[in-house]
Amino acid sequence: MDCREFLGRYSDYDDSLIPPIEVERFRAHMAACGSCARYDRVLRKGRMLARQIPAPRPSEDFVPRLTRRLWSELPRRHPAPGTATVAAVGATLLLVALSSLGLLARARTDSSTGELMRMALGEVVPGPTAPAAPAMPDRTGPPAFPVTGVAVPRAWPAERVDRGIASSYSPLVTGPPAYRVERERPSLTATTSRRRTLD
Amino acid sequence: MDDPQLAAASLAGEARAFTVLADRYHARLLNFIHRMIGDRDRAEDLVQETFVRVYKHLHRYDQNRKFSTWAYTIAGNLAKNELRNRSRNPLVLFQTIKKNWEADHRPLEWEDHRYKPDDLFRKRDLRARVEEAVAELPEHHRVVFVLRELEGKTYEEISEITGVNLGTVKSRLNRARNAFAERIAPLID
Repeated sequence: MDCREFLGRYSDYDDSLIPPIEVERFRAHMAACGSCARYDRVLRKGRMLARQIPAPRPSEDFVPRLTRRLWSELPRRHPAPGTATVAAVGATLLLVALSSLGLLARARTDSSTGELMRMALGEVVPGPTAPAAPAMPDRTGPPAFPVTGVAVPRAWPAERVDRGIASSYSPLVTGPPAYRVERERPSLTATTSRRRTLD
Repeated sequence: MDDPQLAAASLAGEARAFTVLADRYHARLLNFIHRMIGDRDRAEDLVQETFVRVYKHLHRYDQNRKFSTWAYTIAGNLAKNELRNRSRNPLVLFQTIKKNWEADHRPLEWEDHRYKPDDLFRKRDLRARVEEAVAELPEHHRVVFVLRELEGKTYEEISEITGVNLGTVKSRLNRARNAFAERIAPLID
């Protein structure tokens, strides 16, 4: 073995990638060549010193910072595709059920079948976003609030309701809509004409 | 729990599982990236970025592979990009290319004439000199040297992390060791 071969294949010897007979060749060369022996010595000592170099210490708040960043920057982890499909179907069914309950609740207090048809045909579209409120005619009875689990007292006496919020009839509204309630002032003309009729 | 189990738990929604993974590897990744780019504060930013990417792509992690190898691959790519961004100056880029070419094509050599018994004063900051010798290695030699000598990775792991074949890893490591020995020989022997 000459010095060129020794230097060229030194890593194989250093990392024990050669058979024992080759290891002996390397050792025999180092015994005969002071320069290559020094090379081996320098490299082993240098490696030991390099491993003693102190590693930089992470900041104390590294993991808390990372956790905050993950929670604030990244969306919640998506469920597995199968789970997402089941969840989406379930959510749709729930929304349809709530919409149906809302329609039924309105049917009890509203005799206008035309109105019901409009809603059933999709003027109020269930979904994650608040739909635009349909144009509702004046009503003489208390409004039918969507079934949300929140008890809403009926308004009495009958009041005309001015619907100012677009999401009033969204099935996803979790509280009573912000109605502006106006008391209907009895018309003096109507009262006068009824009295005349009775007379 | 081992790394694949923690990864699976994190995917299932257990937030604490990922924190354990991060705690397990953040110091080692910081050391690796710091040795690559030489800037401790920037290295910590890149380790944060490594874990963000690991978290985002955890669903792609192959549990038959070592988690550390995957994390080191991401960290190594970020370090490489950082160095590339720094060398966008055309003159710096040319000097880097020239240095890398010479490192790969200069004949391996080792001669005794460098021995200078009068350089005792250098031994005072021996640790700093050794650290400097590592930092001065060309980038593609430095990464294999750090992964092998300081991080203890196998040849196969280094091949996977760096994306080069085993033969190239061996060749680069041999040259890195040769260059390292040349630099530190006057200091320690």
